[in-house]
Amino acid sequence: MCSSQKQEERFHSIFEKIEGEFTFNTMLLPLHSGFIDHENKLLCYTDHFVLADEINRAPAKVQSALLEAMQERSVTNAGTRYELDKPFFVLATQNPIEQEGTYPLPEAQLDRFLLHVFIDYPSIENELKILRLVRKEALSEIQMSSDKSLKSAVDSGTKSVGRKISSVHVFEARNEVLNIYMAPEIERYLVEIIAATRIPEKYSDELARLITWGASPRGSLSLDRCARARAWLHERDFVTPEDLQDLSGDVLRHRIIESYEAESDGITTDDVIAKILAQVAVP
Amino acid sequence: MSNSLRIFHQLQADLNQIILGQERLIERLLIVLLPEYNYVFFSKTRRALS
Repeated sequence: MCSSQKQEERFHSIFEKIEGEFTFNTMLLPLHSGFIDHENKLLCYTDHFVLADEINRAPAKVQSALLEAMQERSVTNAGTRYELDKPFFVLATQNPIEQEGTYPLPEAQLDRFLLHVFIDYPSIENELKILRLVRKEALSEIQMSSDKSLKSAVDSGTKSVGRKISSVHVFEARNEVLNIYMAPEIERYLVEIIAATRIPEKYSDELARLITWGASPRGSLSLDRCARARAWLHERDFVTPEDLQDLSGDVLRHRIIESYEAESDGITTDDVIAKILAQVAVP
Repeated sequence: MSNSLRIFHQLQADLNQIILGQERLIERLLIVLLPEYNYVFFSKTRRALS
């Protein structure tokens, strides 16, 4: 693998090369990252972490290349296959306005995302805290600028950006999460929630009217893993129905395709998920 | 509490100090680290943009 400097050079050269046809605003962390192109495809490889900002602005072939890396866990350049390092972590964002000139991800590609999380405005109280925090940081920066030694410390990268977490701890945590107990009745509840998206007529005529396509098996697997992870973070060694209910929206939001009737009535997938949770019997 | 969980909780507390008022989002970020295939898709709600 190239040095960071060479990777950065390559990173920039590819962006220059594709300038004009490519507006995929991508930031890679950490610096041991880069892009490789192959047969007009753009693929990325990185140590651990990719942030694909406004992924719906990338052309279909670029989305396809990134999603191929996500699925296969490897990229190929000029016949050489590069395994992606583990853990490999992708965050993608999408802005739901200004859709002109964008390329929405097909459902099958969206399905590869474990979660689809909505970000809402902060509350008034939190916005006040943000105002004060940003003002305090700006003041602090001005004070540091007047102190050369402090400024030097910041420039050399010693400014704290929070605690870090190592890959070893992530793997240890994954092992612990897999050992979280899920009772058979909770497992059945999980599968019933997914089944309600596929055969909604079994639950009610109203649900059947709202759903065109239900969640894939990736939906079940995602809900299972995320519910275990939530239980672990909440210091429990077993999964509860609440874990499944809390995560159903984020796991299923991008995996359910609504009917035209639902859309025309202004019913969102979140509304549909709420109806499913209300109708599936809780153990 | 295991060492890994303690580290995750410390990270969660740090992130809550940096990204104010997004406790649920931060919990989701940590959850996504835990399964093997960990990709997450964020979009702002239409309400947040209106």
